[in-house]
Amino acid sequence: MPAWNLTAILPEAILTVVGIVVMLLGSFSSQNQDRGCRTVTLMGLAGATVAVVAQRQHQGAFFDGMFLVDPFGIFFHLLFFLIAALVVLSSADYLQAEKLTVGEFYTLLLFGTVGMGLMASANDLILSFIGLEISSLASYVLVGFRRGVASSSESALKYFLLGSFATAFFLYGIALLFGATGSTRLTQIQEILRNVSGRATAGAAGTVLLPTPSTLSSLAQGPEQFPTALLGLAASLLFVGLAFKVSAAPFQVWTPDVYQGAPTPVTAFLSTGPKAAAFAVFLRVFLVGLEQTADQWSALLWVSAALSMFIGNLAALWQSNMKRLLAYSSIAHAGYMLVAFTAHSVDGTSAVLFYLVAYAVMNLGAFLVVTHLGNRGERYVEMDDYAGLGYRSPLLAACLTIFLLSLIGIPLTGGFLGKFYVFRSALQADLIGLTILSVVNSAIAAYYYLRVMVAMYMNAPERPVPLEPVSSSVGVTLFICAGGTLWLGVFPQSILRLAENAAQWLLGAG
Amino acid sequence: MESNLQLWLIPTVPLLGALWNGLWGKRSSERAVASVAVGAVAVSFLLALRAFFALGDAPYLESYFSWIAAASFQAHFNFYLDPLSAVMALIVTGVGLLIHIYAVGYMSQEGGYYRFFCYMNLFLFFMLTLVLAGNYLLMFVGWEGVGLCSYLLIGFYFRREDAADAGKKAFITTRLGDFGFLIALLMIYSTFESLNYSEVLPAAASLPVESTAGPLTVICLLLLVGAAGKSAQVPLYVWLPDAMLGPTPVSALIHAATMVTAGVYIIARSSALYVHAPQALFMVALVGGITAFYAATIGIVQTDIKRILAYSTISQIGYMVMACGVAAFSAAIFHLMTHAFFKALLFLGAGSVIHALGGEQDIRKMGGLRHYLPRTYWSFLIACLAIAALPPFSGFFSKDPILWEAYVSPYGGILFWLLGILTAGITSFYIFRLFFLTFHGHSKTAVATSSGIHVAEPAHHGVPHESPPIMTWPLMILAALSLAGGWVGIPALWRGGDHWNLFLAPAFRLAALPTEHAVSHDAATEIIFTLASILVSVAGIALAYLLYCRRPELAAAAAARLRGLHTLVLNKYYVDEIYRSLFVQPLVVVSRELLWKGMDAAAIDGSFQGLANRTRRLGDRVRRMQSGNIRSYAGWVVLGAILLISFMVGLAS
Amino acid sequence: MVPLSYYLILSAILFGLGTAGFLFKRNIVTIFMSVELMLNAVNLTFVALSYHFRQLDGQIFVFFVMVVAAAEAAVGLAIIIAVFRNRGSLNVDQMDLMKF
Repeated sequence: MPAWNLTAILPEAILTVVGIVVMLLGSFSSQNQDRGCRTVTLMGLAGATVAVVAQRQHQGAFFDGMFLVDPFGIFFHLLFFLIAALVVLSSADYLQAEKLTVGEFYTLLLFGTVGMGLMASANDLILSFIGLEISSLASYVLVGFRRGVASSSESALKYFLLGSFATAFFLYGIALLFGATGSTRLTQIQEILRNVSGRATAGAAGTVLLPTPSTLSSLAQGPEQFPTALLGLAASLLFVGLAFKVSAAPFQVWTPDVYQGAPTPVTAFLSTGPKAAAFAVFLRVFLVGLEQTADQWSALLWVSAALSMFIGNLAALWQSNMKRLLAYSSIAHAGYMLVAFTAHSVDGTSAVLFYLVAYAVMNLGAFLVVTHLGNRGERYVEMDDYAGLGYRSPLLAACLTIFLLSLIGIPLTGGFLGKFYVFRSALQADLIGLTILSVVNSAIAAYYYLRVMVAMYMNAPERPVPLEPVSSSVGVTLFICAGGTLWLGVFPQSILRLAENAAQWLLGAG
Repeated sequence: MESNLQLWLIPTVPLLGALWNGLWGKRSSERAVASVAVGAVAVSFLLALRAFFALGDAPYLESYFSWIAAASFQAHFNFYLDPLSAVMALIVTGVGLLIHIYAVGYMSQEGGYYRFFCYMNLFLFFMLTLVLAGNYLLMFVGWEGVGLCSYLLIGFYFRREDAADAGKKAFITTRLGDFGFLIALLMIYSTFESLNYSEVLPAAASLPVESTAGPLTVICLLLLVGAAGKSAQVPLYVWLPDAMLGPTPVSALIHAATMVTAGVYIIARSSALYVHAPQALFMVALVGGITAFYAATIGIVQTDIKRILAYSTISQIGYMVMACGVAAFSAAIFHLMTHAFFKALLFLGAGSVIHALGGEQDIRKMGGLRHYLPRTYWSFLIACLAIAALPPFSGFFSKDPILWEAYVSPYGGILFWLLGILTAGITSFYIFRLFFLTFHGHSKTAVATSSGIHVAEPAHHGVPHESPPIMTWPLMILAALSLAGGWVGIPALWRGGDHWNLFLAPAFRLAALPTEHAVSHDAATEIIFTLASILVSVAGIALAYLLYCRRPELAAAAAARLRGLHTLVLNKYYVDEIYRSLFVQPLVVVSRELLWKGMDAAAIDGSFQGLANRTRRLGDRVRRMQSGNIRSYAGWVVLGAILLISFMVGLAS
Repeated sequence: MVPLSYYLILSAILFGLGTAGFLFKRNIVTIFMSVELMLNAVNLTFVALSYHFRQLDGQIFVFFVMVVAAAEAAVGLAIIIAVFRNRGSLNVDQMDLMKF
């Protein structure tokens, strides 16, 4: 196989080209070309999906080992394309109602997806960084897409400033890791650290010699100690940057504000796509690159998982704005996923992957209902506006109920099996304390989701909230999300098998 | 045995009924809604009957398709029929059918007719899934589902704030127990590599008895936590009395006859595990015994007719759990069945009374109703005699083996027998207190003030009136069952065939006592014990008669004499307050000392509400972290980073 | 020859200064410049390490980071302008429409 092979990045290439085409189409055609833009975007996503599926035959490392085509990356690519397609499908009505430029919106969505794809497949930290920045830059703009609305541009500002602040930490972490090991390639770092710890146990006398394969070097030239402190510093800086992106505590502070101010379809995208991509990098960096120092960073994960769950769930108890409520709930869900991550096992990793899929489907669905009810200018996003929805629009309410039940974790939904796998992997890793904390948290969480259901079914509306008819594209998306949520709860094998395959590859291949 | 019983039809038919009513019920007439709902349950009952008669010696397993087939974890959709699940399915569908019929009359003119029957049918679907499931995970599906339906039905009167709150309380309290179950389930898998009963139970039976706490003990204790949540046992019982805010047929079906007994079912189902974990078994007996006694004493002083029945339910389930705890599983299931009959009858009778009085629920304001509600009166009397365990009523035949086993079983002892017999006396006392206050004495209801649950009920009708036949017929059938339902289990001692134990024996074959050192007692001892328990019951009735019928002033005097005790019990032993000081206060102190200063301690009221308020308050403080200011956000990030770095670098060096 | 540690310490100080600027400055543009300072501190680290290791990788990374920083500046300034149009202010402490 040649050292560089463009088929490896074919999906990204397709999306980039389609993105540019959509951008041109959007700016050069008349106002009523929205449908055309949407079709082209969806076709691009479909093409990219085909390319990814075809890639399964050509797995391996490309571009001098920078870019990996492996089950793990493929899993995430498919998830991203699904999320992007659902957002594209569902956002058409919203864009029209808000009079936003369709072409640019889809273009940014596609570019964001390209960045996410790069993140999921990157084996080199610099590539991860670039992917992260591509997806972040697109999302900064998307968050501020309602230019004339103060809250939208304010959340864009918050997201942008804090996001680039956190990215700087991430980048500094890369630099220091480079200094400690002499490489930014995750698989190489893994090998170097293995050698180091191998020597450390072998050379009981204490003379830890640097493992200097001819091409590699590090700060620890000569016979002195390997710079473990520097390694720890690098790991914690990387942790800061990634925890920020997955909105894990204590780096979650930006989440509620940004999610609240962003256009609702963008919020739906942010809470699923870039979050999943950040988890992909998180898993690759810590389970592959820094695998050897697991006993150090697992404590960080433990604390972060517990804090995320508590902060997310406790603060959500007070929210009356649906977008903000779902934002806090997304912090809590990041916490659940970190619980499985802490388990540091194949089961734990596949639990994270499965949870990401289940969460994407149910959360996109929930946000879609919020988008639809929000009406023009997102006027009706308070919980009181949901009063009596169960009688005024039973189908919409039924869909939202499915999503909420799944978010609570009631059996026969994807959310339940997600939590189930999380708890299972945590128990298998003897994380009993953390499991109990997550159990307590799921009980707390039930409370605020139930409040929404109480409002829908048990309260009478205080003021009439206009209800637009559901358009076909929104209806189809809702159906996919609701059906997907139930499907994942009843027939989870196919996704689970993919997730397990990916997890085994990630932990076994290194 | 037939080759294919199509067990899946039994739960599916009510599900179809629920779907039908949920989708089209709003536009259908009440009659159509009722016939769909009742028809679905009736079909399901007939199917359950067919399965019952097709039952063979070996457990019958139907597997449909694979649910989860991951490399490291497998679960199937399969149903499992053995005497235990067949009996349970019959109870659920049979009593469910009667209550559905009753509800046709009770719920008319209540509003939300179709919604009510939709939820009820949905409940039966989940309950039957729970009962018939062939593995623990599918059972958990039913387990969570019934909780959800219970929540929907408690909060049925949605205009009432307290009803919605009670629903949430029930949902969240039982959820804590549910997670005990969930973790137990995971541990079962890691111990036995399977969740199917047909694999787990034999595997457990082949394990040695754990003399010290091992994995089996842990699993069993976690299952007990789940059972305690669902079956309202100490200490997770607090939700059941509040759940009485739901419509009365719901109380009868869910909070008396079926759902709350799911905890007993799961312990009986896992009997093979429990007998190999004697310590867990002891805990089960202890929890059951304490609950039985404790809830009964609270029942004495309550004044709301449905709350008395709620505490009585808690107490009776305590009996069943205690029976499980002394490894008398078939006695437990026997009592579960007779209890389903007479407690459903008591609730439906109470509903009939409430219905007649236009929503009045305070027994102090009732009296002399026997003349107005003759059919209710007689059926209620039978139920009272049954729960007071007088021969030849069904309660006698089911309670007596429990008391006897509590004494003679290798896992039992004199302590459990004492708890049981004391509870029996208290039970007959409080149930006849309720009975005499309601049906005897002078009528105090010439003008019934309608402040109770029937908001939709039109104003009182002047004179209390008997309910329509569609409501009294189920009462009479249940009365017949309460009278005769126990005769299937007449032990050999009373010249009976002991059919019940023989029938259920295959289900508990794997739970045969591993250490068989049954002390042989002669028939005389058993007769003495039985006579003692009859005597205690009669004494309870006599005391109630004396205090509430013959010399009412004595009751007040007794209450005055024992003021301290009376207040203690009236306030439910201050459990709410104890919970508050044990769990809520420390949380307050911790949150005040560690997180913030100057919390006002004013907003503490009641344990659950207090806990909920505390949690919300905590949430309020947490969300203050979100000041909206970018620089303070960056401050949090930096603070977090500094903590991380110092931890990691500190660890490294 | 200046030892490597000098470069590393200098860049750490620069990074710290950037962080402090982000925390203590009120003007949005200044805050943004603080972020740029942090990125450049990292660049200095890369270059110093690259020189130390006698390999080119680190220096190439610097180019990537510079490109990213430029793109970030373009997007960032656009956002800042949008905010200024809506609010008529560049004081970061006033940007708290959404909280709690």
